Amino acid sequence: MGEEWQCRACATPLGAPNVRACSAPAEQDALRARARLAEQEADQRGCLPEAQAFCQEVSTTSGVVVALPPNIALNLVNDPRSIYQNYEQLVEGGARTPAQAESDRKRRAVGGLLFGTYAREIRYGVLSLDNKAPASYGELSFRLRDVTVQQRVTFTEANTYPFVEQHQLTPGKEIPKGYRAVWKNRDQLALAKLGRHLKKKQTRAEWARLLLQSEGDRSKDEFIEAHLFGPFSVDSVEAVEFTPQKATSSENKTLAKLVLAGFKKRSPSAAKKGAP
Amino acid sequence: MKAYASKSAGIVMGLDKNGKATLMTSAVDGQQWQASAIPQLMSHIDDWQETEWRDESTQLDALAQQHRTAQVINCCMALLEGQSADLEEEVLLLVEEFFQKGADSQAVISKLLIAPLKEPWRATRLARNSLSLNCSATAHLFDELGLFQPLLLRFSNTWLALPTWEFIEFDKTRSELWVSLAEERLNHVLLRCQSQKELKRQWQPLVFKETRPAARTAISAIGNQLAEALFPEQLAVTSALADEVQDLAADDEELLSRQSRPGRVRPDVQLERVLKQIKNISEAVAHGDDARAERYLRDLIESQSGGDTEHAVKSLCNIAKRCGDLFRADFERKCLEKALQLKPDDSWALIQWGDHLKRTGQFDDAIGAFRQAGIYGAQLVASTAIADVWRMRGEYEHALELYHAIPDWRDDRLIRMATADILRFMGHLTEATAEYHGILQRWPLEARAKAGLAEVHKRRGELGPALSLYDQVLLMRMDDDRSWYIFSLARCHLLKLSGRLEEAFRAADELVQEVPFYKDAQLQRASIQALLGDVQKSLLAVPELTPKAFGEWRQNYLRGLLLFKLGRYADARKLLLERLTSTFVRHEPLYQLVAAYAYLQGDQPDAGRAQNILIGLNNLEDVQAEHLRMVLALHAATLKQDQARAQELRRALSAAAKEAPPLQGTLLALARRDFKKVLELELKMFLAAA
Repeated sequence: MGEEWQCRACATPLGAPNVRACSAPAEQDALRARARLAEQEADQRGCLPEAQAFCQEVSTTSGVVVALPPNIALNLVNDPRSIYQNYEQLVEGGARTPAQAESDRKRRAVGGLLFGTYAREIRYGVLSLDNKAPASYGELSFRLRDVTVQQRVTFTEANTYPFVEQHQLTPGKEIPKGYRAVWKNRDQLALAKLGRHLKKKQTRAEWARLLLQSEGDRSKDEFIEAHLFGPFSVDSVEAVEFTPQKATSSENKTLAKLVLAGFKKRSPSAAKKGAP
Repeated sequence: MKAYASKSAGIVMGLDKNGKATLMTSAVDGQQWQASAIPQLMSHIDDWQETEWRDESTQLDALAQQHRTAQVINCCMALLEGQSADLEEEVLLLVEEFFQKGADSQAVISKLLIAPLKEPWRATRLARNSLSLNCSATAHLFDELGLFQPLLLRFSNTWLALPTWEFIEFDKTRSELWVSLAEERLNHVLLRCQSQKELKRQWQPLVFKETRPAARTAISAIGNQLAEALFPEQLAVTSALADEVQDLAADDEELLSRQSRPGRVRPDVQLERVLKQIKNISEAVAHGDDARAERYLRDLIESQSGGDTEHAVKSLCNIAKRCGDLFRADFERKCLEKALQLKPDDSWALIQWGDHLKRTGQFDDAIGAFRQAGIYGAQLVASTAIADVWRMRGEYEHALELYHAIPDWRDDRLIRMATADILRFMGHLTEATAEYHGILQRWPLEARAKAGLAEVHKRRGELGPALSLYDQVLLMRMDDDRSWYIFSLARCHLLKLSGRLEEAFRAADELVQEVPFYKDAQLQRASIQALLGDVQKSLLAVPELTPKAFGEWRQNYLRGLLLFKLGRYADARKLLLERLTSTFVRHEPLYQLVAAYAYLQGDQPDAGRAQNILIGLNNLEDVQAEHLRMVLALHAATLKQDQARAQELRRALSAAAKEAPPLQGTLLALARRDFKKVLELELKMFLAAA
């Protein structure tokens, strides 16, 4: 089966390959065991209610957020079909072409260079409780609608590269079990990673900051990484926030306003401006 | 070294010899980061292109330009969807900035011509709004986009109507072929074609790209169909002509042979064609579409200069005159150089050439051209033109001598006008007024004389009568459009001086939209905008300039004022004081005044140097400048605690304040030694006088 969406013989949908890999019973058992250990540790500290509340919060309200810089996000929001007559017939008409396949090949080539096996169709985001993503990757945060990602997203406990280094993974070496989750057990992953940091009287905002720690330095960012199989479009977006940084240029601020305006047109509830 | 580059992100990713990703570099700001650090970002980029990375610096610059171009395209598409007024303005300014930094306008227009717009009026409106913001490159882009829409709609409809079997010979689909027209910028070129023949010629590159004969035949056939669909009347004309020829052949063989001789065109038809060509060239120049204007110009010259060059020279001079009226001195120069290349002894072309040189401050060369024109027969015109050069140089007495040496000068309207103007410049206002009235008595419709009277009133601070006269002038018939624009701008200045800023801004804005290359109108609008409080926007319209032509110093002058207004004192002083001794500003009183102002700024004002400048100034052109001179002199005297001088100036200014109440505020501030307030008020006076 490998990394296929559907069976080559009968075209039965197989699900996203990353989800299939993380749904293996051994993977799920290992994660459950780690989460249980974290729960026990929290209980020993008298923080069991907090641990349970944390899991409940992550399970019901957390989602996938993608960070994009304004200049790339603008590609997402522009819809030539709303500007031009006959756009689909003139530009998009016809079956998939060799040129499009060539473009895909280049994309895979680039992804492969960076990410190895999981290259082809993975888009990266973070698990977030407050609709924010690390601003160092882009000042615009896109919260994706749960229904558009549930079936094709998985999570790893940390950013891909530090994770690889920390566990000394080499080609051919198996990824240790218990460090990945699918949508329905993402709360267990969060507990396994962050359980020991939970304290009494912590607020939801503090939990959000535990889940995503980012001070603008990518090398120090800490988050649960989301791997989304396949692209997303403007229709997948539930909310957009703009969090300008000190170094955000006036050019990018203007482009961000365009992005927000574009989303507002398509979904009035989606666009929301972030802190100045 | 192999690499991957993305235009949308402006990023290049280097690969080592083992094909592993190494560094990422941003072409926009040079930032670098390790490939391992950014999976979050890289996964969302879809336009990677493989490239050979040899010369980092050059290739990064090229990628940065492509990135800016991509940003412009994105911004334009967002604008075409419609945005709020504030956001639209912000984005238009951003697009203009991208163009100033080198975004490729041809690539942008080709991409935007990918399909006909659903709402073409948006392009026209964006063009107009861009002009209001002084974003001329952006205005030109949207103007062109709007102009092409009707033809693009026909083009695309014809394309879509072509049967599918026409495309079966190609490797590309119909859509891919269409997209490649845009990517290779051919759609832009094809839409400019004026005839079947021209379109077929421009279609050729597509034909030659195909390697298989069947594909070449197929694409050639498509090109022919498109050409015939877009220019059907030429097909009809050819058929009708063929019928006519056949009929005539039955009656008169000689007539037939004459009419079928290639190139034979009736003179009136030829004249009409030439006039149309001149009109097209002028329109292209007015829109800043130099590439198109040059192409039409080449066609015109080719069609006219086969035998007798005289007509070609006349046409070129005609076009040059129109370019001058539109303040396109650059294109005017091209036309005149070409005219003189074709006929170096054409006196009329030499006169126009001298006039162009005079207006651009090349006085010695102008005199040379006029002298040559005199040798070749235009003696009278050449003499008056040379006198005018001396007038522009500020050598008024010498100019008057030359004018009055011309026989029967009192009967020459233009010489009488020149004499009256010189008297005004010299400050002999009573004599000037008498002269203007004398001219109007003899030539009642002489608009320049009325304008001259208005300027006398203005110089005396009588703004109401001056405005009323200009209102009359603008209703009169002019010798040329240029005069109308100049008088219109003068009226706008009066509105500004009268404190009617909104009205003044509207007038200046309309003028800029009508004549986008009229620099003085742009500067006037910027100065009014600054007085209305929008200094940042004004500054964008006034970049720093090394003056090469007469009058260009005004741009640096205004920019210096705006920098002062923004509190950028060091930049303002550097700009104004470093260029103080340049040829173009040595004799310009306003520039000298603002230099004196610059010396009075700062924690350690140099009142002595300011005074040295002010002492050298006298006979300023109008009362506003004179007030400024007195205020600055009082400012310097107060700083130096020169009581006697200060008292004298205070008395003079108090008398002046009766006619110009705003001076009272300045006098009070000086009396209180509130120098910060004084500098603010002085700056306001400068912007009003600008």
